[in-house]
Amino acid sequence: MPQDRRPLALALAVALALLASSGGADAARRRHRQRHRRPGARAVAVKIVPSAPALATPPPVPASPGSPFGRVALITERRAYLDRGAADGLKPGQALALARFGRPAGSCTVEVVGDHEATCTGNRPRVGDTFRAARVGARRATVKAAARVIPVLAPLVDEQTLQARAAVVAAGTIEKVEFNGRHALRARATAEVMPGVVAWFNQPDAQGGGYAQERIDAVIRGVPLGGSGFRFDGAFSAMRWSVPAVERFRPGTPTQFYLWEAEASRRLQQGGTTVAVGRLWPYHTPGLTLLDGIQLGRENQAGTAEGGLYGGLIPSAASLAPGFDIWAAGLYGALTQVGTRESTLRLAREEARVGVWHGARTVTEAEALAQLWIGPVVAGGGGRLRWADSGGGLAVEQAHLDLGVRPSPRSGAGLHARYVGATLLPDAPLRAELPMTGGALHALADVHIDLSTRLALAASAGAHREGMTGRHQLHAGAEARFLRLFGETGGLWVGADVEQGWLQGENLYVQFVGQGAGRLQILARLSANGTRFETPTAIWNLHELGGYANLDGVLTPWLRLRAWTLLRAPILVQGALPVEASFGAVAGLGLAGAM
Amino acid sequence: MLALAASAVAVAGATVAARAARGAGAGAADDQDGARDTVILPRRARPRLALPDQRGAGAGAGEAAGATRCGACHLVEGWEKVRFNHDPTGFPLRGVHADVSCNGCHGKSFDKPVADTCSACHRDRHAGEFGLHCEGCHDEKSWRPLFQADAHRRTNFPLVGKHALIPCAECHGNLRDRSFARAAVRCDACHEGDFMRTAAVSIDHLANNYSRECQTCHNTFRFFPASVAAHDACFRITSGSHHGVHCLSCHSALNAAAFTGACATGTFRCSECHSHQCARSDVQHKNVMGYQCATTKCYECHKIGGL
Repeated sequence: MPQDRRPLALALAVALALLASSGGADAARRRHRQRHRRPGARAVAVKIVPSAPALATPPPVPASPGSPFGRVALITERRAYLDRGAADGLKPGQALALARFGRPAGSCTVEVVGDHEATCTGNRPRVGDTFRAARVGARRATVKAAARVIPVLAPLVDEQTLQARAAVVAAGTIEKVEFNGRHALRARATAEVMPGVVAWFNQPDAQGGGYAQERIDAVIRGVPLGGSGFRFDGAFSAMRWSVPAVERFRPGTPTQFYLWEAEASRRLQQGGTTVAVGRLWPYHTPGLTLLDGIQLGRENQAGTAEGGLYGGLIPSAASLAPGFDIWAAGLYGALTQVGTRESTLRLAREEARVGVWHGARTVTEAEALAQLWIGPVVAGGGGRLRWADSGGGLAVEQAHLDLGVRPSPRSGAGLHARYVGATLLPDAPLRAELPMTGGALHALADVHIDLSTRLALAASAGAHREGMTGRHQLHAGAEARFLRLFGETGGLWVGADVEQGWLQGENLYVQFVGQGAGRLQILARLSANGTRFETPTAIWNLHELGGYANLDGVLTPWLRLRAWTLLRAPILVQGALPVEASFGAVAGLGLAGAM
Repeated sequence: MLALAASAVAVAGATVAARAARGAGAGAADDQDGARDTVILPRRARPRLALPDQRGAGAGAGEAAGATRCGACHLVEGWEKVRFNHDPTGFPLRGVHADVSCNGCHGKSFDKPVADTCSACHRDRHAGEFGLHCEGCHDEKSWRPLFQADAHRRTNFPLVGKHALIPCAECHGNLRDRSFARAAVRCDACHEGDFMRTAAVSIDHLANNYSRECQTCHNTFRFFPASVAAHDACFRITSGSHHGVHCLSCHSALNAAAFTGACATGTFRCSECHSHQCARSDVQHKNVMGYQCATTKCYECHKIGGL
């Protein structure tokens, strides 16, 4: 080496030596920190996987137990279940980057962590989505566990004996799980309170003001009454109305209270005597709704048959106020036949009641309901007969038939027909209402098919005929649903239908169904329709634009918000623009708090 | 609530809306499982996880026959935290169904089928009025339906004009049975009171034997002003300056408002309502042939109000 370059070489050697010394000191410090780390600090070393796309590309294959990649095992409406847990480094609040077929698929936040499983909530994960689970802590635990000497203990019971015992238990005829349903899972008492406001507005309004309503609805379910086996269920609505000068329903009653249910009942899983008393809504009594009285019956142990009696006072149809003017009493019975998973007849149920309705006239009534589930077909029907001694004779007040078939998981069709006859009970709730004396027939057919997860089609048609006036109405429509037009945000529904008969018209609509931020459900609909009124002297037509929006939001697990609005405006009257601006709007806002 | 209403058997529009709402969420289930079915636990679509009382039916390799796989549904965090994937059963638990206890539907055993129709579990508050077609109006998020005015077009009484903008109870007053039944589709089935009330506030419709086809004169967005086609033939009130004039402003003698079918031109006098100064009017019409400052003559030219 030339002499003039010796100082340079010496300086370079010193610099390298210092650099090496520095690195060694860092390594020593790291080793020192590892030797003196507190046990609790080891858990903090779990690696949080950032949601960067570059790191979120694990292989699109199901994760194996030894793989660092976890997998979404299943999902429910609210959360996803993961096959990795605390032992794999997951902890609550951790953000996981999900991947689907090797591509980023959003993220989810770990909610609850078990040893080897966890739940998370996020932007609509799917089963099979993968994520990277940092197994730093798990690996260290494994190494440390391997270092420990675990004494081998002799089994208390040998494997052969265990197998034999398991076989005996499996062959037993008694219930082997003590948790057999007598305790309901999450079947504790619940309560829900829903305050809300609704406003109706019309411009111009010839009747002097729109409607406004403030209301509160409350429901309480399943409150045990001591150890008697009885439970209490109740529901009521209270509302305050601001109404225009002319009102038809309960005029002059701005404050209204409706008690829907206040019932103490005993109905056990293992059958036996069933009792309900109070303002009740009787079981297995088709056509009978509110009753201030009692239902007393007997159910067999298998839960396939029940019979008994009911009786009580009928509250007012308009106000639900209790009264002594009308009472009803009778007998009821119900049967259920249950097939096996392989049998053709899977389920059938029949209900019937016979009784007396005593009001302004005494009426004998009989009503029955049946429903069959045979393979992919569900069929049901029922009807009500009433007989009045003092005039009126025998009347078929109501009959209905429903058929439904779902030949495949993605398609289905239904046929529904209903006859509504003239009622023998003279208690129309509205003033100045003319009773229907001729009966009416209604029918509807609908069909739908999901061509793919992105496109579905549906169609429906219906017919109505009223016996009293002979007026009839036909309608038919079709709808195409682009389920994922906006990706995970939602889809678009486009449909049209036409009406013929005493009122003719066409209707076009576009509807958005989607969600936002995982907490909002949105339904927004825009429609345009035209209607023609045919009269003996003229044909009036009216074209309108309409909109409807409904927003459901989950504010907290126990608080929901619902807001909705409806708008209508005529755009053409007799083919010309309206003489003056007219529109109407209805808007509602409500909260639902559940406990 | 406006969200409530229907007088006919079934409401396809609401069905569509309900299925749409359900379909929006069901898509994910379709994707993940590839198959759904209408029946509970068909053999080909049994969930991968065994039900609590399917002892051994879904046990994997290495598990002893007869073993109860509690972990298939229950979590170590608590017995009540159940994670059973209900989607492959053909009845995905959505909306409020997600919070219902298992035996609320299954009773004593998961082996017994449960129908996937609403009416199999829910009692009918409508007294049979709508048969077993609950999903025509209701969905799973809340029993309060999303039913709205467009869906009412599937009934025999489409809600047109202001009919879509009034509380349901104004027509469907039976709260006890929630039957939503209405008397008839004729206007006077509900508006009989309004028809009779005209004796006090307008031309007495009954005394003048007016037709009860209310839509002949009235439309559904506004009851007033009425539009009388026969009246326009003689004197236009549907549009122009005289649009919106109350009937009683001109027809002070109510019996003169009877529709005879014959045009009553000549019975009115413009000057009864419009004060004219002939001196001024004469100047304005000095070149108009046949002009005469005399009542009834105005209308010979000014047949359309406002000209």
